Amino acid sequence: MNLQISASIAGLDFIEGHLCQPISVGNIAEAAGYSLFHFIRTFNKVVRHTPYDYLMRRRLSHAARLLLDTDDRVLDIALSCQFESHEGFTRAFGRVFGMPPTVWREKETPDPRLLMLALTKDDLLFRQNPGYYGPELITMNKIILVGWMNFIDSMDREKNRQVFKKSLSNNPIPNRVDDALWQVHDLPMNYGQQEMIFVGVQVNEIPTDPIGYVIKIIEKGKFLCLSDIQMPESRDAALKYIYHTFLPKSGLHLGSAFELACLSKSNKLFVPVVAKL
Amino acid sequence: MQPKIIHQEMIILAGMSFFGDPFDTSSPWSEENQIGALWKRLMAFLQSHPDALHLDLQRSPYYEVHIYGPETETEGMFEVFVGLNLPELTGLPLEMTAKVLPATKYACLTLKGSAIMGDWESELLTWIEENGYKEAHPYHFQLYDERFKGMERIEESILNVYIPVETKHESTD
Repeated sequence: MNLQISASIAGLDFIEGHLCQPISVGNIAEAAGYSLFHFIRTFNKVVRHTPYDYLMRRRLSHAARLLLDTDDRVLDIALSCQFESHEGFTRAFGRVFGMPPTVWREKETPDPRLLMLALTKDDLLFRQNPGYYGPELITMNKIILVGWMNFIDSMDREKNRQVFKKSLSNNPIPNRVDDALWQVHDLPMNYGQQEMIFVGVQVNEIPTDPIGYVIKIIEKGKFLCLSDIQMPESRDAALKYIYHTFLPKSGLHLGSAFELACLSKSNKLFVPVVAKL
Repeated sequence: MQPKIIHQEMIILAGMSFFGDPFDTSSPWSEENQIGALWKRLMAFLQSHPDALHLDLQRSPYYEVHIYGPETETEGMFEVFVGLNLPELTGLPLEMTAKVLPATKYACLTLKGSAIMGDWESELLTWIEENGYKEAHPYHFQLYDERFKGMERIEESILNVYIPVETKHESTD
């Protein structure tokens, strides 16, 4: 691991350990053992956020979590997360979450994609690949998928795919477009460790006799597409990059609450988006 | 590393500036940052107005000054000024601004090759602290002259960096 990544990890660790304390970018640089100028240059290159932007986004996500998990007053949460006033907190919260803190708190199923988790070493290593800096914005035509919808433990995704592949050989699906396997991950229902996963193949037309399978239709829409993703190893890092680093500066918003992956020789990850009004 | 302490008279600079975090670019996937963009803006102006400052642009050294303020420590934002030394503050083109650096002592370090890309600021500040000095003003500057061959030839390049200092007892007198 190179020195720039080690220093950036030291900065990330310091931020996580002091999220609710009055720390400055100068303190973070000091913890990483760099001068302030050299640190912000290094951190931006490796993490692809400025240290201050990253600190504020993590504080806001922490505050958003507290809004859901506690009955504390909004003002108390704001102050505990180092915001100086209710107004300042509400403005900053609105910029990141697109709604006031009170509305977020009242939502029965808040979108988990908006919560920025702490970045890890794997995230930083993923971000060193220049090929991932700019996901491609594409318009994808309607696609018809045939396969299984399962409620599984998130650790069993790979096993689920393998079982489906085995089933395919015993019970082939007609009119397949190609050999690629598609996976649709439904959000944002909070199932904890469990998740709703569709795994299937693309077909030219809806089969007349799809016994044993279900049909899923992805309507025509805009997607951010990242290619050549190592699956499953880099999936989470790729999604974190799109949600919290790329999208805020892209002029796009998150679209419908699902993620789409096409697993073939060149794995592709698709995130539905809409243009900002 | 062997810095020198020098005394420098007031320096008048004509150039262009930027305030903020220079690495907070609008295109996070681009290697371009605001310091690079600032240099490009200055060089483009001088190329199209070669007589604007009545200087020999090929021989004059170029300065990159980083000026720190209250937002630097808290948010990582500061001013970057790039420009050239003028003998006096007259005839400044509308497109440019001036920066006056006070007469002061400086700790000066000559960097060679890859050391230019390193954390020289941290090393120089440590040397200043350990040798009976402290920072006199909240800025430092880098001096680019004919010895600097460009980032693509960094191994052959030489750069002087300066941090204004005073002796520790000067500030307590």
